Amino acid sequence: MAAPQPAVAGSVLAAALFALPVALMLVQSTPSAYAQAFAAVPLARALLNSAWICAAGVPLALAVASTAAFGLAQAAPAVRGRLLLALLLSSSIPLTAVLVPRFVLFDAIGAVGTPVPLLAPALIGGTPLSCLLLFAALRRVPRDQIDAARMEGLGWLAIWWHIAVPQTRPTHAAVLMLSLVGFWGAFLEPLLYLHQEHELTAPLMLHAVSLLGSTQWPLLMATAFTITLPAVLIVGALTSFLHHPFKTR
Amino acid sequence: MIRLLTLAVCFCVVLAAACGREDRAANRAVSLQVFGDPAEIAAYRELVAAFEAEHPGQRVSLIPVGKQSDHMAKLSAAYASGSGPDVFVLNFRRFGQFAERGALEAVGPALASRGYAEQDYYEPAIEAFRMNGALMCAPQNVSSLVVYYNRALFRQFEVPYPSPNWTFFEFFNAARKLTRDTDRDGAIDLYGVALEPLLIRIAPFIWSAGGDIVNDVTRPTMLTLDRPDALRALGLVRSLNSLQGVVPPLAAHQAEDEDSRFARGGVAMLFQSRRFTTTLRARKDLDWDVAPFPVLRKSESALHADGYCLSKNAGNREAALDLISFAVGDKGQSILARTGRLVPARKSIANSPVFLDPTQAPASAQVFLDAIPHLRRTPNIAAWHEIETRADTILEEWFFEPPVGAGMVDPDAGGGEGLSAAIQLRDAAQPLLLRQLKPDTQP
Repeated sequence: MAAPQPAVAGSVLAAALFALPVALMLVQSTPSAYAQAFAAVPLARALLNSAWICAAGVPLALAVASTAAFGLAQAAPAVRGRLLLALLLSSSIPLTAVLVPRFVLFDAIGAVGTPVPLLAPALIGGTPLSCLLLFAALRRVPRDQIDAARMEGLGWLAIWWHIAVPQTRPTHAAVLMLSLVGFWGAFLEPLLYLHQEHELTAPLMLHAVSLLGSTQWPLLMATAFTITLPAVLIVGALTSFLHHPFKTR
Repeated sequence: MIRLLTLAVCFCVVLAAACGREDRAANRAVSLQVFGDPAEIAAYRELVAAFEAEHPGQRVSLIPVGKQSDHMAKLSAAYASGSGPDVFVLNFRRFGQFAERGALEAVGPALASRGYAEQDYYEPAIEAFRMNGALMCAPQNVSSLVVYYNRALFRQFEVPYPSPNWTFFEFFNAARKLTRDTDRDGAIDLYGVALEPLLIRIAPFIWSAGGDIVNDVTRPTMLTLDRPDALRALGLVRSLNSLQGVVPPLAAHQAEDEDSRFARGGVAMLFQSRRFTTTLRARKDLDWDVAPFPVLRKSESALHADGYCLSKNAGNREAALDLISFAVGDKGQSILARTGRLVPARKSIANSPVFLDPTQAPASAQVFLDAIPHLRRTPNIAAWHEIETRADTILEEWFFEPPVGAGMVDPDAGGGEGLSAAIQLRDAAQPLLLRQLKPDTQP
């Protein structure tokens, strides 16, 4: 079925809005600026740091969010309502309100100066929004299939992995992309929790380059493009998973 | 799948624990948190290496942060949890909030035993970091607000270069002559001057006119911008926009920052501190120099100074003091002065070729040193940063709002608009200044 015209126009506009800055970065940067970017700041190390934080954090966040959402979808209506309310409430708390309490907590357990505070959100599924999105998708998995699987003796985790996840692959792909962008682009947490220069992540390096002054546009654009490219490539590669919900191996 | 998940969690925990061990080991070193761009951070790295070479067995863990606002956020979060770096760089306008909470240890007496003599440093910087008679932090730099000007544009439009004692009215005339519609399309594309309407930028105009911004700089209880001399200065500042149109209007101001505009030749003069020098040095095609702050009634400028502060909870206090002593000594000051970004607080380095390098722009670097005897400062109380934040919002709105009956207001009269802004500023600051006086908020 063809998509309605306003939806197509909206998608084109959104794509243009995101593509234009990337194009601008390419136009404004010069080849020598890329070499300068790696010389001015420890960019290679920062990219590696960001990559491993994403590699550890994104799958963990997705797995936790998905299992939590599956549990929510299977819960009794009364319990589910209370849990959903709690999720909605927690998603409405501004980050700034919990910044200092979280710092105090991580400092008390000796985790400041380590990547633990950056990965900790993955243990609660990244953001409440991820859980909510996955819940909306997973609740549409037919109850009969789940009951049949239970009767066949499958455990809850096996049902989630073999039955629920394959049917909701597009939503999982979307949440994976959102988590990836969140972990890759995180600025405040690395700023607060990481100390040593060799531990810093890519967004902090972009920020450092931006301080070089108003005459360094090619350098800034080259750094911005270098940092944006991996995320764009991975998100681009994942777009095929946004379709074919029932495609299996 | 379960095994995969378990493995992933174990991997994260082990990795995090390993990193934690590494950090705990690093904690035995003196931690130094600084802010600055990559070139400044590189200079700090050089400073640390030089210190470690001179003090075998002592190690420094450098914590670099980019912007000063991020540096403050990181420090505030650390102090909220009772931790924080051993040594950190702070601007004197912000150190009060740490000093008054008892987070800092006065460095004066301990540094004196290491050969630190206050008379080796410029007095305004020393005085700015003094609280209740004690030197709380060791000053690193002593910059001031000066006028950066584009010499090529002055020559092109036959405007004489600023003289060492130029007055506000000479500055005003130069700005008018340099404001041009160069392509004759009916829109101004070269502005005479750019001025960010911030309290720290406008304060020197008020001081130069004989006014003041507070009633007592050491223990302020009210803003005094509604006094006649201050109002006259405010009126003159506003007339740069409302009457003469020699500054970029609001739309242009928001479309492009003033530093960029100056660097590309879109404005002939710019009020800035020493920090801007290195940005301009990178522009080989720009012919520029610096001039003193123009005089209204007397020569004045605003102090910009940072200092090395010592945390009260410093784990390795003696090594931290050694580091501060080294950083403000000849070698430490030379390393940072070579970046071109700061005016060293140590007199011997400020007057040496390291700072007054004749091969490097600006040709008139002496202007920064000549301004030092005329430097005035804003209060260093805990609430001052918040007062400035509130004031800057009011001043920006006041500076850029269209005039009532454009062309009809006499700038010398100060103008009712200046009075209304002054009253707004006073009312915004008053609760914060009064809170400062309450005994329960004292350390």
